[in-house]
Amino acid sequence: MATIIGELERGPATTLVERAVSGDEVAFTRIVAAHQDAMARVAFIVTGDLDLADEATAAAWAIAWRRLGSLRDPEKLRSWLVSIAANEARGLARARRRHHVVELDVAADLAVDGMDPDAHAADVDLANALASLGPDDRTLLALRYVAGFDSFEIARATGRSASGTRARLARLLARLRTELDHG
Amino acid sequence: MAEPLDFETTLAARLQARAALAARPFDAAAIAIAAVATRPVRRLSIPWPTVTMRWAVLAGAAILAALAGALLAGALLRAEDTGPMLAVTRSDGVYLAKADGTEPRRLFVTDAESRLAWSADGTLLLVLNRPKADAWRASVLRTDGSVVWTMDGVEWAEWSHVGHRVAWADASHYVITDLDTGATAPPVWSPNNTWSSAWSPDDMRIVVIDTDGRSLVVGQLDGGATVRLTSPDIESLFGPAWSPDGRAIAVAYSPACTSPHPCGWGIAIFDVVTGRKIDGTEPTAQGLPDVQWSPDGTRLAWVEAGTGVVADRLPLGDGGGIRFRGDLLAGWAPDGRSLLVRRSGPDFGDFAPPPKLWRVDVDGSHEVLLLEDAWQTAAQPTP
Repeated sequence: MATIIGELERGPATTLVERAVSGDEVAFTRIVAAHQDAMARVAFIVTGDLDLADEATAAAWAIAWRRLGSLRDPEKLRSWLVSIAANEARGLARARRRHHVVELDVAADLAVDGMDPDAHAADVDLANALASLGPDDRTLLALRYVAGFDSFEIARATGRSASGTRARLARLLARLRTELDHG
Repeated sequence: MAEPLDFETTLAARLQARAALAARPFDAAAIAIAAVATRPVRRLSIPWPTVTMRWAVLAGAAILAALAGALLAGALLRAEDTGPMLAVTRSDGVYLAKADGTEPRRLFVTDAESRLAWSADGTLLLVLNRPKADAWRASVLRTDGSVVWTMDGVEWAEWSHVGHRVAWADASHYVITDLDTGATAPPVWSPNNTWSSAWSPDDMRIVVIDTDGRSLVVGQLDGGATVRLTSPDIESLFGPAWSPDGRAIAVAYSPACTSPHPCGWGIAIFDVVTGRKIDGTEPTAQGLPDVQWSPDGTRLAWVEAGTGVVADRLPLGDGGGIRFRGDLLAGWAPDGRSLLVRRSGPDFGDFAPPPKLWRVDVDGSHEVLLLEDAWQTAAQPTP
């Protein structure tokens, strides 16, 4: 009974993390099941490519497995994992650009059954606008609007100051507003 | 200023819809197995302590905590330090340490900071922190930790070079508060930008980035004519820094860019009198460079994307600058011979090992680790 109460007090994330840190692969699998989707979404916005996003999340999970013990607050597990995925995605996107491969698959990945034609066109516009940005800027957008980080969390995740982060986001908004012909 | 909510909300929805394309079925077990295969965890075979042992461990920890508390109290009560100090934000607050990084003592408890800056005479410390989610507060502290001034909602704050005036901005105002007299008023010329401004060395002017994001506006605090600094190839600007002689402003810029290839950031230098861009680096940096002038104004240093550069003032773009490792430039040493540089590990963030503060000679010949766990740093000026 004491053990159950203790686990409830610590919270399910804490318990899962502790078990995974001790080598419990089942617990780690449950963590993967809970957070893979959020990581993949962020990685996709950063890389613009589903395969690269998969590669980034796979690399992020390898890092997470090795460093789970360094997570200071298990209740921040999701933010920690999403930050790792975003940074891995950013690194891959940078490397891809250095090798002069096509920057982003803009429309090829959008052949989604049942997508409204207007929505499809709008998404192509957004994809083109994202393609004109660098990986750092796409990382800011993904963390802010897909992962829901605030400016301080983004600053900590990317190693920048919060005020600089807010300024960059404001500039990005202004730029995207122009490119997307909004307002 | 904040973008209108409707566009931001629409953009967020569109980004989330696009991100949903990545939400596909996955095999969690296969992903986990692949990750585990990269490095199997070595299981510990040490048995969990018995109840008696647990009490012994707890008692020992309590004794150690008491000793640590006594030591901390002693540190907090120490009356004075000699020589210039470093102010540094660590994971659990703002600390003061000697210039060599020794004897850090906690001055202010906070877990979220954006900015640290000493007053020009080195007696007061400006801290911009976030007591709760996205609610920012500016505080001015003495070196004993006592609070001189606070203001909520402040998103940007900057010391004057003379006296104890703070130019600060919230979401809709740009105001100057004189802490010596208590007077608070907007400047005669009222800037618009809230995130990035700088006093001129003689305190007679302030430069801000205009609301279009593409030009700098230098305003006379006595209400004289403003000067606009711009260049047709610039789309975004951030972090203006006056040269010590007040004749030039260095700033990070990103060019107008409509090609499918993303644009990076570079450093531009503007002549304050003519308003023209007189030099600049190529916009190849993938991070936002934070540029700072050397104390004598002959050189510039900046850091972007893990690499720092020290370059002669003119010409900047010859690629001949000295390079060093770092992810944030904390500042020049007062003698201009070394730099304070923050470095993180291969990955960074709130959950990775905290970054460290290094002192690096400007010729790259000598590096000294000053502090572990150092996020933002400000070196105390010596009047």
